[in-house]
Amino acid sequence: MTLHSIRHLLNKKVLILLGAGGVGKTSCSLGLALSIAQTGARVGLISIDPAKRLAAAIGLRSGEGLKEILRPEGSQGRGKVFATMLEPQEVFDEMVRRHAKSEKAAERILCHPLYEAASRRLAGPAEYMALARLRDMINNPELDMVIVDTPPDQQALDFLSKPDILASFRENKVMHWLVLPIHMAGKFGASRLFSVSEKLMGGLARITGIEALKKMAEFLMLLEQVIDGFHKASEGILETLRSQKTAFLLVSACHSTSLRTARHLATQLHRQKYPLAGIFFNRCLPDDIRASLKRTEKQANPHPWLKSLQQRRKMEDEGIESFLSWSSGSMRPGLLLRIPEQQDCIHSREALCAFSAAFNLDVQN
Amino acid sequence: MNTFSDTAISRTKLWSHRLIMVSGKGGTGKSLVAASLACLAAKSGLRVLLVGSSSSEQLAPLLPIQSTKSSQASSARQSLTLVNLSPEDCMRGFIEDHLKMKQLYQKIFRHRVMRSFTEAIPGLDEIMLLGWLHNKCKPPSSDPREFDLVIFDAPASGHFFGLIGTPSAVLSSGLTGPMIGEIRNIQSFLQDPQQSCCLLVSLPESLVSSETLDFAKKITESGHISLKGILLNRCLLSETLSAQLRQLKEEPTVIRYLERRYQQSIKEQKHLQSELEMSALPAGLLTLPESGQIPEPLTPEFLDVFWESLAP
Repeated sequence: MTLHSIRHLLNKKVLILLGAGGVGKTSCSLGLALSIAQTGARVGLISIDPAKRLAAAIGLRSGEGLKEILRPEGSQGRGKVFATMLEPQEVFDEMVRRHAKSEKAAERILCHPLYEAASRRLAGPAEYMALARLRDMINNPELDMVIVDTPPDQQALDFLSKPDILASFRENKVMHWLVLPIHMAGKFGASRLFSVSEKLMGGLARITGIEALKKMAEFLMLLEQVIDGFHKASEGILETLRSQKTAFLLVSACHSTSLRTARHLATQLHRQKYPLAGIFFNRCLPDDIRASLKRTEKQANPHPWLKSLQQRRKMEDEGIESFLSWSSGSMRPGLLLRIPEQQDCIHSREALCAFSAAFNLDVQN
Repeated sequence: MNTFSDTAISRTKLWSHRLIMVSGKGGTGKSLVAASLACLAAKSGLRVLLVGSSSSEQLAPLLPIQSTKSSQASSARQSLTLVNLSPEDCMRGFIEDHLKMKQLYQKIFRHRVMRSFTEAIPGLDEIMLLGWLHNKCKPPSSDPREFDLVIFDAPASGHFFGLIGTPSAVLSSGLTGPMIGEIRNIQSFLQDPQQSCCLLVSLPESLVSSETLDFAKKITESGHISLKGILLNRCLLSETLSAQLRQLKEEPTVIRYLERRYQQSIKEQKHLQSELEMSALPAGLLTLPESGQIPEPLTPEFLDVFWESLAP
């Protein structure tokens, strides 16, 4: 069902897995990493905010650097999987500490009443950090390939687009002509408050109140210096991601909700000129079950559970078919792979190895 | 006919709320549950507003109706109205309709540079979203109420927790001003178990259901909103069906597969039930059967199954 062999991915330096929350991005990243390591390559995996229990199961803890998590059997010692995990809150703290002018400045940001809400929400820093970490890993001579497992529970493309929000904030010089006057008003009294940005900020103040606005202005002023730092840390990386060295891979379940998200993501990638290399249809019915179901199709009154399973098989086939007929021309990913659902969670090493067989690189199909 | 246990979720009790938020881990079936509840509540005679917040429309295909723009939601006179919200819609709706500052919105908030400022203000989008929902549930006293029940297809776990915690975070940051009064109203509305509640959707898989339990405890401890129940989706549970299945012999692979799914469903249902009791969480547990394929739009037969699993 596929144009390119999965071996095609071996020529890449960076693989980025995208998909809606809950489709199995982390599992697929791990399976793929292990399968690639089996060819003797050293693979680095960055997982952004993965499901906690899955992370714990494979020995990933936040705050740790890159560490070896898996070594496939029979890879003659060279092939290995290294992994690191990023958690947005910690990443934000770390970025502030790293890029603030002084320790004192960092403390002022970290203790600011708005910081808690900001660090939880303002996704930008985590994405910047991921990109910065990604750049480090691409430049790491020990690693042959880097796999990025993008964050769950949010628009998957935030990973690429959020840095632009902060960047536009910075480039428009919003700080200087909008926020600075308010910040200064805190020091010199309200009389000078609206000299420059009177209309705009005065309007906002009618909603939030002057005090609230001052607090926000103060916070954003404090943050400005670290935003500059975030920006520098990730410079150039977006170009790498648009190059031939990178492959984007979609992960989707086979039901219509998930496939709609996959189409949405494919469209967005295409629009932003990121190369879509393949799609993994995850949690499909295993082949032996499919074959067995096919033989039961002619039964007159199937058991209700059997019937629901037959319907599911039909839905999967139609879903994949509809994605294929939708994604014509340059939108058509070269690699399409049906990944069977797993009986157990891929908690253990054994289960993970079994799962990685779905990404078997030796099979020409 | 079903006999319902003590932890069953009753529709009368559910329908008495003003706002139901449906959350859970990604991929568990939040949109399906939100859409089904909305159809069932509308069928019971309530005027229902179903609200989605994702950039790709997930709810519309499930419903037999068209989605409306948020600005038109108030003009629709039907038992079920669907709105897909964007942050801009919320901002505009809240400022224009609720605070009655239309000119202010037009002049200030549509300004391009201003938008990049408001985007960077932590929590503002969340407050606007909650404010918009609150306004649909409890409009200012001068306006008539258009909806009896608002059902929100909320973001998945992590983002959902951030969302419902925003009022407290903003209030404890020491801000003052006209907004603060509003935020206090929103907070007490969300915290009032008579008016607002949330439901979590989960699956009969050990990883997913333990995460659901952790999240249920976290929500209850936070006090941000009252957790009314956990819905375990895609279960194979009936004992009679399982017994019938064992008598079929011709395709052992499929039968073993289904038997395993049955055991797993039983195990996770029992596990959730006992954990809910042990940790004294005041939440009900509801199981929804595996349906193979979700009909689009949802059919009466599909909704009947959901209806039957709710206590009267």
